Amino acid sequence: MKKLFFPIFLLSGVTVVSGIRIYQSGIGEETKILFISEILHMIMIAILFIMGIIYGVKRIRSKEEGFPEDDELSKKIIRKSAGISFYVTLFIWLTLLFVNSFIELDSRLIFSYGFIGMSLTFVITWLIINSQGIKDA
Amino acid sequence: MHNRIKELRAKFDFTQQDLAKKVNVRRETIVFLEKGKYNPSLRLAYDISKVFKLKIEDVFSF
Repeated sequence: MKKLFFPIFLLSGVTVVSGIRIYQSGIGEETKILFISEILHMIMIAILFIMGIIYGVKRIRSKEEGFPEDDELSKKIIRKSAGISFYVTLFIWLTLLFVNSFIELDSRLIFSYGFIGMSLTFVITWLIINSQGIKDA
Repeated sequence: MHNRIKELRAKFDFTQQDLAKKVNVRRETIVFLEKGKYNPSLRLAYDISKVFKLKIEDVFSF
């Protein structure tokens, strides 16, 4: 748990901070802000979308080959990923709220980065647990 | 937890897919079990032992 927490929190933190930095770097140039911000959003959403497709295809193939779509291991991996990512995303939201108290940000931007950060955190956690295995849950 | 799944699977000439189908799990679960990356539930341990016609303690040990 401790080993997982720091890389995940670091990645999520970097995502949020880099988003805010990009937003700040474009202050005064509205078109540039929208352009960079939207590209960043599109990249993140594309990553999530591709991961979703890969996961869906794996499930369909598994079913076609006569295996269950979900078994005890896959359910435990999802449960553990959800638990860890929930814990990490609490800090993401707190960081966003903290930053917002110093820098005035568009509320839509805060929510979009928050939600994308949540989704990315879950995907990253799932990938890490899926590669490391699960022994204690 | 240690297990003899790989050894027993070779002895019974089962592929990972065969064993996965027999105990109704995905092939990845058998891979994780053999690599020691996953400790199975009592139910799965029982089912695997049953496939090899052995007691749980003959397949899994601490």
